[in-house]
Amino acid sequence: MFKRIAIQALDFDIGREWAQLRASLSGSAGAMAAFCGLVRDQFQSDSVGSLELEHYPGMTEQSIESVLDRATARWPLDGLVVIHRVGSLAPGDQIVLVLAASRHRQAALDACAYVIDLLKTEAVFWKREVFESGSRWIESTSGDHRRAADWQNS
Amino acid sequence: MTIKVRFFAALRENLGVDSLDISSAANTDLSGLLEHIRRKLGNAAVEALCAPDIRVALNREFVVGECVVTDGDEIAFMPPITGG
Repeated sequence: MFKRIAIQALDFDIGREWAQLRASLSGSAGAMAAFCGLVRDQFQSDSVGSLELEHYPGMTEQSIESVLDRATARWPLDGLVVIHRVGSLAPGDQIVLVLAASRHRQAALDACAYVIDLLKTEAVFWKREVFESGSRWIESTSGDHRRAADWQNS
Repeated sequence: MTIKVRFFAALRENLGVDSLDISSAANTDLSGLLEHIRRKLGNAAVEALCAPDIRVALNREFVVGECVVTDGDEIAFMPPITGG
């Protein structure tokens, strides 16, 4: 199975990642699904000037690997890709990419949703939104935790 | 022996330092390490590290409760994470 995890300051090229995953597949794979997260320009009523992402080299990769291992145990997957950016990002920038490939569409779609939902609560990153008037560290929301818990219970 | 202690995100900013090298005469545990940190950074720092939402990792694995810390280990104190 094709597996790729990357943490990088540079932007990623979805087309290139997609093509690389696709090229790795044998004829049995019948579906690919993608999720790409973007930096929003608003938090509540404040305009976000930039988003800063910090990580813990080594541990962050392990935390993503652990999520991918569980996805692989749960669905018959042919490939998984997670690219997560760090550093300073601007509104509209791509922040995270998840790709999943499988024999059938439902497994690819579900695995893609599972991976991004679990990254929200388990991947070792810290995000800070910088406003004109200051900055604020973001915490995962109760909705994030509920979605992660729903996967554990389903 | 030397133990590396790292602080991340909001904790790093609160404490004003991203890491400490702690020298200890013998193997220790988290409580022992916190006493070393208290001597270097003061009571308020230890209070911040003991807040209920702070998680601890030993050599990049989360630990819950006490753990033994030996030469060359890396301990990280981490505020709540937000990936994705």
